[in-house]
Amino acid sequence: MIKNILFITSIFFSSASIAGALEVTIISAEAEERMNQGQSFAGITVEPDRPVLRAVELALFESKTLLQRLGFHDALNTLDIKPDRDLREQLLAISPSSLVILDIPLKTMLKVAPILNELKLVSFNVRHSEPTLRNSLCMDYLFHAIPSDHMYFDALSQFLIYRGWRKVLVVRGPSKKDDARAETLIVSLKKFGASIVDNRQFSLSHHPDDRDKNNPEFLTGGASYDVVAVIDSEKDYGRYLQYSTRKARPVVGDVGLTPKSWHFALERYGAPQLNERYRHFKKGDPLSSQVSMTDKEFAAWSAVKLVTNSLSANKKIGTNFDLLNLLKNPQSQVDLYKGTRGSVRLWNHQIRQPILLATPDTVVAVAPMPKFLHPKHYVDTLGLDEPESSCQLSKK
Amino acid sequence: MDKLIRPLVVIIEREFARFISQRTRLISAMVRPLFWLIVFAAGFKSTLGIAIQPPYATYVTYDLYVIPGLVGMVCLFNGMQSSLAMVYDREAGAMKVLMTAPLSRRLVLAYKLIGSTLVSVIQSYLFLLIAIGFGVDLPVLGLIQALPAIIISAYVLSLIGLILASHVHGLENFAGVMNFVIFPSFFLSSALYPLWQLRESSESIYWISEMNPFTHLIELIRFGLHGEPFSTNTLIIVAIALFTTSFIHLLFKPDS
Amino acid sequence: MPSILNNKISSSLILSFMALMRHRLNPQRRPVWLIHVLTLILILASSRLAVGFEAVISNERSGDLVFLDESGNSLDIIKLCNRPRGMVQDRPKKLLYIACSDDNKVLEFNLQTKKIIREFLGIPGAMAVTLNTKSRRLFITNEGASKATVLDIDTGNLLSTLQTGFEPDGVIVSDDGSRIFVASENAGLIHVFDGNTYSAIQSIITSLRPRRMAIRNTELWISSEMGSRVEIFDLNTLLKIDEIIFAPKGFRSEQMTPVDILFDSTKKLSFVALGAANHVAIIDAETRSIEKYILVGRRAWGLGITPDDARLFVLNGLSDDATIIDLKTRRPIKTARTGLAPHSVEVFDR
Repeated sequence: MIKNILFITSIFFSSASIAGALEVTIISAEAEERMNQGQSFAGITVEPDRPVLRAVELALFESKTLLQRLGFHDALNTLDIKPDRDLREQLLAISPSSLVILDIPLKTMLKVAPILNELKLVSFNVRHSEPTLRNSLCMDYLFHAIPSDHMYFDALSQFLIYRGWRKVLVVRGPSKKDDARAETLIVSLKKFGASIVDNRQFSLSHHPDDRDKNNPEFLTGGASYDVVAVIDSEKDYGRYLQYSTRKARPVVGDVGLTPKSWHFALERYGAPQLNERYRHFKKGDPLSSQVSMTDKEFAAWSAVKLVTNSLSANKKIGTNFDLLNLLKNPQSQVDLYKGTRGSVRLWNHQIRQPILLATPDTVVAVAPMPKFLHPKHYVDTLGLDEPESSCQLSKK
Repeated sequence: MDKLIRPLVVIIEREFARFISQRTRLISAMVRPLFWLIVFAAGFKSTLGIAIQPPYATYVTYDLYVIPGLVGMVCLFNGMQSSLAMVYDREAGAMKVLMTAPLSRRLVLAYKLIGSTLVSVIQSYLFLLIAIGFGVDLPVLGLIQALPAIIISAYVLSLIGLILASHVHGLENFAGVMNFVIFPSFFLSSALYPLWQLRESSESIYWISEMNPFTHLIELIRFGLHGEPFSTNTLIIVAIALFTTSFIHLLFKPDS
Repeated sequence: MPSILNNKISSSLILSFMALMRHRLNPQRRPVWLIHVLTLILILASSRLAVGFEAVISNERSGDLVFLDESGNSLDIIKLCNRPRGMVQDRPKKLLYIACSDDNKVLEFNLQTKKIIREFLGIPGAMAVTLNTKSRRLFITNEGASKATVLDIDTGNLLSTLQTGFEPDGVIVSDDGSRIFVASENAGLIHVFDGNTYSAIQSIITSLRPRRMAIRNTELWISSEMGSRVEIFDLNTLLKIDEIIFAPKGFRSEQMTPVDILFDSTKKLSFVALGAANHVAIIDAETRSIEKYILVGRRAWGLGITPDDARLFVLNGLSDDATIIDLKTRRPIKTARTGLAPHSVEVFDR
C-alpha cells in the first residue's frame, strides 16, 4: 500500500512554466525489522534507530523555496513491504519518476535493489555501509548515500596516523559481520601505514575458560600499542573496554572516537543551523535539544538534497527531467554542511563526503586529514578510489 | 704592507680562479638549492601557508620560507668543499708553497678563510637573484640587510670546514662529509621546516635541531632578509668565530 | 603607525631645520629654544589630530570590538555583546551598526566616543546588516528566522519583515534604494524585494550556498561558498552575465570557499576572500580576470578597505587575526592579532 504523506502543490510564480514534480518514496519493511530489533541488554539504547522519514521531510521542507522557484511541486510517499506478498508487484506501485529511499534491512535490500534497477527507478541505500555491497550491487540505478566502511575506516586511520598513533591493537566482536568489518579496518590501517599489533576477539561469556577474551585487562594486555581499535557492530562489549584497558590508551572504532557522517556537536560549516532545523521544523514535535540526525537519517537527507541541489546547478535540465541523468551529470553536487560539497563517485555511485571523527560529545576532526593528498579530488583519499573499485559504472 | 696584501690577493685570486674555472662546481652549487626550491617547494605549494613567526609579519609561502635555509646550504657546501680542497692543496699545490712561504701560518689560513667566504657570499647572492627570477617574492631591501648575516654564516661554515678537514681523518673524501656533516646539520635544522612543526612530530628531534648551530645561522639569515640584520646572536657568533680563528694555525702543523 | 610616526618625525625635522636656518639668518640671533618648544608642542598636538584610518573588527567568539590602526597595531578592545557579527557604517555620522546575533539585537555605536548609543531589540539572530544612507533604512538578515528585517534608522521603527529561504546571510540594497537583495544560503537563492513596497519580486538561482554580494554599476556580484565561484548578474534583467572560477596553483576547486566580496572606491578592483583556501583574490573588475592571489591566515572571510583604497583588511576566522595588504605593492604587510573568531571589519577616518 502506498501512502501519500504530504503533497505540496505550489505554483508560486504565475510565470513559471508547466510544473514538474519531485516525488520521493521511502521503502520500509517493518515486519522484517521487528525480527532483528537492535537493542542492547537491559533495554539500554546505545544508538537511536529512527525511521528516515523525518530527515526526508526536512530535506523537502528545506528545498521548498527552491523547488517553488524552479516550478516544481514535491510529493512524499511511503511503501511498507509486506513479506507475504509478491515483492515485484508491491514495487510496481511506485511512480516511475520517483526517487526511492531504501530504509530496509540488508537482506531485503539485496532483493529489492535489482528489481528497482530493472524498473529503472533511482534508489538510494541510506543504511548499509558494507563495502561488498558497492561491488556486488553495482547497478546503474542504485546510489549509496551512506558512507562505506572503507570511507569510515580510512577516515579513522588517517586520524590515527596524523596523531602519530601508529601501533594499533584491534579488538573485534564474535560475529561474522564483526570479522568482515575488522578486515576492512585492517585494510585501511595498513593502507595509511599503521601497524597492527594484534587482532583479538572478545567474548560476551563470563565463563572462566573465556577469561582471556572477556577480561579487558587480559584482552588488552601483553602487547605494546598506541591505541585500541574496537569493532563491535552490536555495541555489546566495546563500551566496557574504555577506561579498562591494560595500558592507558585511547579506544577508537565503534566506541570512543568514532567515524560518523553527522553529529549534533559540529560547530562549523553552518551545521548548527541544520541541527537546529532538524529539531524544530515540525511544529509540536520537538526532539530533545541534544538529538540530531543519525548517519542513516543524514544519508536520507543528503540523498534528497543531492537531487534538489543538483536541480539548481543544472538549470537547463527543465522540469521534465530524467533523475538518473541529473545525478550522473558531473555537475551534480550537494551542500552537506561539512565544509566540502558532496558529489557522486561516478564509478560506484557512492556519495563522496568528508567524515567526522567524533566522541559522543565532540567533533574532534574532520577527515580527510591535512596532508593526505589525492591527484584528483582530495576527499577520494576516503573509500574505494576509482582504480581500486571493481564496480566501474562510468565505463559501462 | 705589500708582504701582507700580496698573499691575500694570491689566495683570493686562486679561490676565484677555481670558482670560475670549475664550471661544474659552480653549476652544481646553483643547481642543488634550486632543485630544492623548484621541486621540493613546488610540492609543498598547496600547503596553506606557514603560520606567522618572527621575523615574518604575516603568513608566508613555503618557497619564501625555505630561501634562508637554501642560502645556508650554499654556504655549507662551499665552506666544506673549499676547506677540503685545501687539504689536497696542502699536499701538492699552491697551498704547499704558501705554507712554506715566510709568512705566519695564521695569516695564510685567515686569508684562505676570507677567500672562501667571499666565494660563498657571491654564490649566495647569485642563488638569491636566480630565486627572484623564479618568482620568489623576496624583499629587495632584505637582500642588502642580509649581507652581514650571510658573510658571518659563510665565514663560520668555512671555518668549521677547515677545522674538520684538519682534525678528522677519513673525512677527506666528500661522501663522508656529506653523510656525517652536511646532511645532519641541514636536515636537523630550521632550514626546511619551522621548528614548531618538527616539534609536532618529535620532541627530541626538535631539541637537537634547536641546539644545531646551523639552525642559528639560518635564522640569522632569515632575520636579515626580513629587516633585522643584527642581533645579540650575531655578536656571539662573530665573537666565537674570531676566537676560533685566532687558534686555527695550531691545527695545521707543518709536519702533519 | 610607522607611516604616521614618520610623517610626524619628518615634519618636525623640517620644522627644526627651518627654525635653525631662520636662526642663522637672523642677525639678532634670538634664542632658538623657543622655536624648538613650539615644534614640540606642534608634534604633540599633531598626534592628537593625526589623520589616518582605523579598522574596527567584530569578533564572534570573544564578543568584542577590536580597533586596529592601518598598520595593524592594536588601539582598543571594547567588550560589546554576545556574538557580534555583521557591521555597517554610517560614514557621514560616524556611526556603526553592529548585529549581535545571540542577543537578538542591533547596536548603534559612536565611532568617535566609542560608546553604544542605542539598542534595537527583538531582532532574532541578527546576522548581516546594510544601510541605505539616503532612505535611512537599515536592513538586517535574521539567520534562524529565515527573514530579513527593515528598520527606520532614525526612529528605530520596524518597517517590514521580508520572508526568505533558510539561513539568510548577505543583504544589499541598490544605490537608488529600489531593490533589496537577500541571499539564502540553504535555498541557493537571492531573493529580490522592492525597496519601496517590500514585496517579493523574484528570486535568482545561484550556485551552492550564496553568501555575500556587492554591486558594481549595473552588475550584482554574488559569492557562492560551496559552489566555489563568484557569479555576476545583471541588476536589471536579473540574468547571469558571467562567473569567476578560482584556481590558484596547487589548489582544487572544492577547496575554494569564497565568502566576502568587495570593490574598491573606483570599482575597478574586486576582492574576494577565499575562505578555507587561505587566500584573497584580487580581480580586475572590468575584465573579470584574476590578477593575483595573496596568502593570508586561516579561513579568510571578512574584508574591509581603507577609504583611500591603499590597504585591505582580511579577517582570518580560524587563526584569530587580520592580514593587512598594501594595495599599491599588492603584498601583505602584516598579520595582526584580533579577538576570537573575527567576523566583520569596517574602516573609518580617525
